[in-house]
Amino acid sequence: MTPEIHRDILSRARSGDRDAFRSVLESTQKLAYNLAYRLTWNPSDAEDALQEVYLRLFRNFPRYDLEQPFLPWFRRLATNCILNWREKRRSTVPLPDLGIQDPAPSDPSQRLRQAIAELPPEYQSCVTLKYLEDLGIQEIAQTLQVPSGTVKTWLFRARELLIQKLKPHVETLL
Amino acid sequence: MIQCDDLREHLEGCEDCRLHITVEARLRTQPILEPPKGLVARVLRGLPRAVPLRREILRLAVAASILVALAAGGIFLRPDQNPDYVAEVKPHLTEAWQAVASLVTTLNPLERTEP
Repeated sequence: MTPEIHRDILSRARSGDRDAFRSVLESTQKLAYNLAYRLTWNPSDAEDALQEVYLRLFRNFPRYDLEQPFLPWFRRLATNCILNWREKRRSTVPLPDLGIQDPAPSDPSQRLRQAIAELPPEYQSCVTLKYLEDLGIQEIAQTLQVPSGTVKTWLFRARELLIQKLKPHVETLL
Repeated sequence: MIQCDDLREHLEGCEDCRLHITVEARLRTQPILEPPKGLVARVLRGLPRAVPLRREILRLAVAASILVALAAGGIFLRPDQNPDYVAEVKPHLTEAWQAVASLVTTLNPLERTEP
């Protein structure tokens, strides 16, 4: 899940080389798609958000410092971009379309997705980063640019809220 | 093993702990999705295409040389001293000026990237 990209490719992509940019895209698409999917819960929205992510990457690549690791920088750019895209979409689309219409889905996975989708955005980001790549508190804090203590609090509250939401359906989850 | 049995026994009687563990396990085992086919191509199509630098430099060079030629012509011909010559040269100057103007339009910075 965690892609490795050669420094030479990053250097060329940073200078505007399209073939190198394609390599970066191919290496990071799985991570970025899953990140986008878990923050939108809709395949079509995830793809639209990804388009924005890579457009921003394309424009901001010259700002990337080659001396720094690429993945945390990319993860931060992608997460911010997806969250901004989602906010912009929510302000223009009257009803939130999270791809979950059933008020009480019987499928446990769908029930969990619905519970996550109902969390505040900062909790969702934390949960996504924590469980998608098994990131540590420090890495999540760097990605979201908040103190580690805040991440701990958000994760704790997110879990509590999830448990609260899922408690009535405990038997179907087991 | 004793600890494991104790834990199992506790979980059987404690719904809260059972739920905590279940939610944690569900979060950890969410499926990792494969990106849709053709995603890379679609994303690449959506990126702006920059005008090649060499072509842009060539355009600038042509426009600059025409401007220099016009300026030099204006200085050396001194049309104010030769009214007949002005009548003959003016239409050509107008044409040249239009050519320069169209070149400048193609160099409009707003058109340097294509969607």
